[in-house]
Amino acid sequence: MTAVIEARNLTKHYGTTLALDRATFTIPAGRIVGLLGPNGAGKTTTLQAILGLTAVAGEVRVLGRDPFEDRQALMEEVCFIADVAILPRWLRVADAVAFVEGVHPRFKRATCEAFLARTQISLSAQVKQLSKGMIVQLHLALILAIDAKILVLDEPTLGLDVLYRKAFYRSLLEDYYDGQRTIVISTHQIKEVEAILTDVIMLRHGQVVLDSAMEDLPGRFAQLQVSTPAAREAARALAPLDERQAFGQSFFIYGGADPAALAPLGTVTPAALSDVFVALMGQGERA
Amino acid sequence: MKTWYWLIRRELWEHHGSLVRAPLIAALVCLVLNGMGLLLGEVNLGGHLIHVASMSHLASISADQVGQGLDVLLASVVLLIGLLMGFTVFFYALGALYDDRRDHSVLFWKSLPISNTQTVLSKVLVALVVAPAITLGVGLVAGLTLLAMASLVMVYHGLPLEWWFAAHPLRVIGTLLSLWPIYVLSALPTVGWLLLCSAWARGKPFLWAVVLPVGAAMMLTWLQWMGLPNLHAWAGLGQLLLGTFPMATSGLTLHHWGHSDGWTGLVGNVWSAAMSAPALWIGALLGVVLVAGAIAGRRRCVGA
Repeated sequence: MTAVIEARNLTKHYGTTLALDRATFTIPAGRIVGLLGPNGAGKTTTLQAILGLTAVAGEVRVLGRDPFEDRQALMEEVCFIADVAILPRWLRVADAVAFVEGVHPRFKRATCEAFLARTQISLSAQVKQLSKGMIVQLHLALILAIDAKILVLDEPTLGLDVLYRKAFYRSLLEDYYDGQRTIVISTHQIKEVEAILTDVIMLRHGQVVLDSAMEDLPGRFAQLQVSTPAAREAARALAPLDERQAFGQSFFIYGGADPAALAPLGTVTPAALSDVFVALMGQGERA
Repeated sequence: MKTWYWLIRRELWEHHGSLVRAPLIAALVCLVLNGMGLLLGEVNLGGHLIHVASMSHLASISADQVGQGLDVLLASVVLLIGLLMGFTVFFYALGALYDDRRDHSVLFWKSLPISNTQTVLSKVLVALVVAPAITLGVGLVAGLTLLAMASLVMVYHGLPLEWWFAAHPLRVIGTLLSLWPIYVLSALPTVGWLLLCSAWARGKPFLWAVVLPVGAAMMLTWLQWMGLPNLHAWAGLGQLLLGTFPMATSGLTLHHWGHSDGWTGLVGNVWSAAMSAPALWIGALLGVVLVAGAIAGRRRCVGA
């Protein structure tokens, strides 16, 4: 499968802060990749490097191009929603549609209008008259009408209520994703995207700490549930990534542990993505 | 070509109030005030003022003088709205590359296949071509309306109609059009400087744009007092900050306007005087460099 995004040793300093620290990853075509990490982990900087919005050290290639030098050409094939509610407040809905149609060779007005017709958005409204949820719907309508190869979403549903969030991801899957296009989603609302991702990349302090296909995760990370103090001690000895207590039980997360060694101690299940996330993000913090 | 069209449309959507509505309102206010003045004269003085003036000076006033008066009336309406444009274009350029960074909508604009160069140049085009075109259009319509109002009063009071034909509206329009290139060259350094500040400033672009050069000019003046050569710092400061006001920094004085022989003489005089000033060309060249700097800033800065 061909790689559409290749990043090698991405490094970026903001003053003395290291936002990206030799981040390296490859994203093949047709995947839905979650870029996960806590605030300040370098998610936005990574996306900005991919989109040519910021110059970084290291090498990044998107569809074979250098994004920073070749942003204009790249944006014909790459779309992004950088954040919620960033459409200019003074823009009219009809003007927004006309503008994107005017400057984007791959924009299909009919698709955009069909999507808008399913919403409460009036074509004569200004962005400032729309709710946050409607602004995201408008942005989505503009983006989904573009026949692009890569769609990049940076915290696309931040601040939206659960109905809009669900509708957003449903539109994404039903109206946009066709198995050819690549979608990169950065978020820290893991539960929300868990079900739609094919791949996950986790960042911590600007470094890639996990880069895996979703189907490989159960084989790599296991959760062990134990109830006796003796089993708890034995479990701790097996170098868990994380441990938490709930309802008198102890839950351990293991990476790359032998299931046969864990099974005698308690119940072994595949670790949930959010548990893997918490375990990996905590690594080194407690040490 | 299509992209340029939409980039200009975009600017007019965002700045409709300052670029279109403001000159229209100014023109309307100008017409209403003048109309009120004329009516006041008719009602209160029964047109007495005009009668007195016309009767006592009828012999001494030539058609040429009346014509010149009407020409000045027409040109002054345009220049009045041009003064307003000086302010609107100044603040337009200062916010052009800053406002969308502050509200983050720059990320939307940058998600479209438009180069930074196109974006910045579309804003230069609005400042140097679109805004003056609107000013000229609105100003001329208002000026010609005022001319019609004045001549109506003249005819009503029995003044000779041929005086009206002594006016030269086409010549005035031609003169104003001929000043356009001078405006473009003298506005370039100011527009370039403001766009540069607009593109790079992390906050308060107005302070950067004004305080920095004023401080520099004060420093240079102090150095001059200390014995260094005169670098004409204040003239340079004017070119950097006041270039959007038509003819304010072109180096032209009334002297250049007075000594002219007919229209071609006037335009010839003004053109040769303005275009032969090295400061104009140095400023324009600096303006081009500053615009390039603004493009570089647009490439790098997405936040404010």
